[in-house]
Amino acid sequence: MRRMWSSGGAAALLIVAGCSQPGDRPATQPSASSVKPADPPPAAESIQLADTDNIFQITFKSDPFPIEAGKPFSLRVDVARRATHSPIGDEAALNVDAAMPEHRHGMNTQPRVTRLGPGQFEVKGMLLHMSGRWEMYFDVVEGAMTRRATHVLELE
Amino acid sequence: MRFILKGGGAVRRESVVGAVSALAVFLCLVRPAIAQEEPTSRPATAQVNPVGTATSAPTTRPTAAPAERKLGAYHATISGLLDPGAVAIDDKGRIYVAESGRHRVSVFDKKGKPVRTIGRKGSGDGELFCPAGVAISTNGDVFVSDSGNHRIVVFDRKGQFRLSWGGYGSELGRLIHPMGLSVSDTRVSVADAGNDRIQVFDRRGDVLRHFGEWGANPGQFRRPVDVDISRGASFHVLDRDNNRVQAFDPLGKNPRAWGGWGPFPDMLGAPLGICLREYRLYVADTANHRVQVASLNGPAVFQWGVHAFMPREGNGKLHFPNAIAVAPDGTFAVVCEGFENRCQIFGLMPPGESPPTSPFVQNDPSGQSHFGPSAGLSGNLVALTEEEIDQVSIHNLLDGAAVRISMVGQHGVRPGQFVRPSGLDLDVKSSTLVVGDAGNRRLHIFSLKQDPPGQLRFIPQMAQLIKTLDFESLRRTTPELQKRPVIEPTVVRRDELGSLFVLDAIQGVVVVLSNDFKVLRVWPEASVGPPWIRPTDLALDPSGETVYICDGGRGTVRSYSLEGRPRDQWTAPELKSPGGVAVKSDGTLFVSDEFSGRIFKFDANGALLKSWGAEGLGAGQLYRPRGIMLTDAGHLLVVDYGNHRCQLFTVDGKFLNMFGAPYFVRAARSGGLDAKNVE
Repeated sequence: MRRMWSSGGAAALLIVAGCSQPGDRPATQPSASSVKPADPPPAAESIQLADTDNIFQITFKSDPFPIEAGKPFSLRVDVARRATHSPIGDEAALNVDAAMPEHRHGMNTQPRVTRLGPGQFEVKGMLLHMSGRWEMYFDVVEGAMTRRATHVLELE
Repeated sequence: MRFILKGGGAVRRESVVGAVSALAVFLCLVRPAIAQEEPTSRPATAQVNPVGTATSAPTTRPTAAPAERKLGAYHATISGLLDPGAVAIDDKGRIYVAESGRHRVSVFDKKGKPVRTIGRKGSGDGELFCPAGVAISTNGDVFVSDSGNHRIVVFDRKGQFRLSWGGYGSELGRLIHPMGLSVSDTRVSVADAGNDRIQVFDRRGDVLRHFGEWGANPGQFRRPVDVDISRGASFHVLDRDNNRVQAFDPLGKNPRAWGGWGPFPDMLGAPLGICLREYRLYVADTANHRVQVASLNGPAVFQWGVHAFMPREGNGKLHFPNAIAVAPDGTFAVVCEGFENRCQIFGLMPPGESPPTSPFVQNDPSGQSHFGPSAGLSGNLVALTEEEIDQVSIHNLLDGAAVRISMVGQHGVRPGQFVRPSGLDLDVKSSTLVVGDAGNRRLHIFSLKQDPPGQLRFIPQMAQLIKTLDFESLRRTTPELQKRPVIEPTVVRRDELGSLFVLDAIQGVVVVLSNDFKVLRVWPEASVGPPWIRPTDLALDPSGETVYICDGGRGTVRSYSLEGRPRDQWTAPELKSPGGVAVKSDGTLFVSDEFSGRIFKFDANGALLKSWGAEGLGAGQLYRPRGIMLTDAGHLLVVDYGNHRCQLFTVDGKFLNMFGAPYFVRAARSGGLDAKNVE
C-alpha cells in the first residue's frame, strides 16, 4: 500500500506559515522513513496552512485519505482571513495545483475548483501520478496579488 | 511641410512631394479594399520551379505541386551591421536591413554589397531611432517602423522622406514600440507591440482596422512582434510571448493558431520574425536558433539552421535569428541575427535535398548558461536569467569564481513560472528574490533558503514562491496605471526601504511600488511619453535618493529624483549604447556599453574617469555587455551578455575572473577559438 506522508500528521491541526515541510512536523510524529504500510490511518485528516504574509488560513482535507500515488482524489478547502477568522468572500479566489520540483513537472490533470460557499471550496481532478516528493500549492488570489501556501508530501 | 491631426490625436507629417503621391494613393482607396484579395507587401510575383527559374505566379495554389526546392543553402554573410532588427527584399532582389543600432535602413544588393542607406539618427522628418521593422511596397516606397519614435516613417524609392504618422500612445492611430509591418497596395499593417494589437492603416496613415488585446486566448496577443499578409489578405501575426503564429481572416477575425513553447518541430522559442511567401510561412525561431517553414495553416513543413555553439560562429549556422525575408521570386532568403550583428543569405537547396538542421534544438535544461542581460546581486549570491529555458539560475560567488547552486522556476503561465524572465532583485538579508516576468507581466516573490557560510551544495528547492503580483490586475484597479497598456517589468530594483522600482522598457515607464506592493508613483505621465529611446537598465544610488536610467538609444545615462524629476546626465563621445549602470556610494558611476564592449567609469559630477575593455572573447574583453553591479567585496560584476558569461573586474578595470557557458569561458582562458580550446 502506498500512502500519503504529510506534515499534517495524525494529531491535531498544524499551522505552518508559507510552506509545510516534512521536517516541520511535531517531534512526536514518525519520520518519513519510519512510516510503514501497516501503520493505522491517521485519525485527523485536516491540515492547516498559512501563506507567508500570514493573511490567509487554509484548511484542507482529502478524499480519500490518505492521498496515494496514482489515485485520483478531491479536496475540501476552507480559506479564512487569519486576522478575523472570517471566511473569504467573492473578493478572493482559490487555485490549487501540485508539482514535483525536482522532476520539473506538475500533474497530468487540470484541477477544477468550485466555490461551495463563503470561504469553502471543493477541488476535483487531483492526481499525483507518481511516488516521490510533491508540493501542493494553494494560491489565494485577491486583486492583483496571489499569495501561496505550500504543502509538501512524500508519496511512497 | 504640413502637419495633419488625425483620429486619436496622432500626428502625421508629410512632405509636399509625399502629399501629392499620397493623393494618388487616396484615390485608390475609393474601392472597398479590405476584404478583397490583393498583393502582399513583400510582393510575391513569381514562383520557383524545380530547376530554379522564375515563372509567372499561378492564380491558384497548385493542387499537385512539383517537388519543392527548399531554401536553406548558405551563400554569404552581410557582416559589420549594428543590431539588425528587421529585413525586407524588394522585387529587384535588393536587401533592406533596419539597423537598429545605427538608426537607419541599410540597402544591399542580392550578393550583400552595400548600395546606400536611408534615414539618420533623430526624431525629425526622415530621421529614425531604433527602427524595428521594414517593408517595401510594390512601387518601391520604404515603410519603416521607427520604434524609438513610436511611429511609421515612409521614404520613397530614392530614400527621400515622404510622410510619417503615429506617435507614442494607446489611442487609435498612435503606437507604442511598433515592430514588424507589412504593406500592400492599399494598406499598412503594423505589429503595435507595446499596445498588444495589430493596427491596419491606409497608405496615408489613417486607421482602417485594429484587432487584438493583451492575453493568451485566441485572438489575443502577448507582444505581437511581426505581421505579414497572404495573397488572400489574411493576417499572420507572430505572437511572441504566446510562442505561436495566429492567422486571421481579412477582417481580423476567426483566429487560428499553431506553435507552443518548445524545441521540437512545430514548436517555437520566443520567435521574432516572419515572412509569408506564396504558400509558405517562414519563422525566425529565435531561441531555437533556426528557421521554421510552415504551410499557411501550420504546422511546420521543414526547418533549417544549425545552432552556432562556437563563439561568433556563422557561415550558415544561426544564433538567435530575429528577422527573415524571402525574395519575391523565392530564390533566396535573408536571415538576420541582431545578436551577432549580421545577416546571412541563404539560397535554394539542390532538388530533393533538405537544409541542415541542428541536432541540438535547445539547450539542456540543466543549464548551459545562456545568461540574459540583467542580474541580481546580494552578498555572495548572484541571480541570472537563463534566456533559452525561461528560468533563473542562482550562483554562489567564491573568490571570484562562481558555482551554480540552484535553478528557479520554469517556462509557463502559472504563479512561479516565467515567460521571458527579465528583471531580478536579490536580497540576502531578507532572503528574497524578486523576478520580473516580462512575458507574463508579473512579479514573482520567492523566499530563499540559504546554507550557512562555507557550505556549498546544489539546493533544488532553494527558492519557494511566496506571492505573485499581476500587473494586468493592478492596472485595472489603479488609476495611475489605467491610461497605460499592461506594464511589462523589464528591470526590477529594490531600495533600502523595500520599495520596488520597476522599469518597463517597452512602454518607457517607471512604476514605484511600496514594500507591500501598493503603487506609489508612475512616471513619466502617459501624456508626456517616455524621455528615453531604448531604456535598458535602472539603478538606485546607495543613499536611495536618485534613480539612474540607461537611455540606450541616445547613448546617455540620466538621473532622476524618486518622483521622476530629471537631474543630470552622463555621456561620453565613445559611449554608444549604455546597457547597464551601477552606482557606488560616493556617486561613482559604472556604465557598460553594449555596442563598444567597454566599461565607462564616471565621477559623480559626470567627468569620465576611465574606460576599459574591447569587443572580443578574451579575458577582460566583452561582447554586448549589459547588467553591471557592485559586489560586497567592492568589485564589478558585468554580464558579458553576448559571450554568455559574467566577468569580474576591480573598480579600476583589472580583470579578476569569469564564469558562464563553457565554450566561451574555456576559449578565453585558452587564448583562442580553436575547437581544441573549447571542447
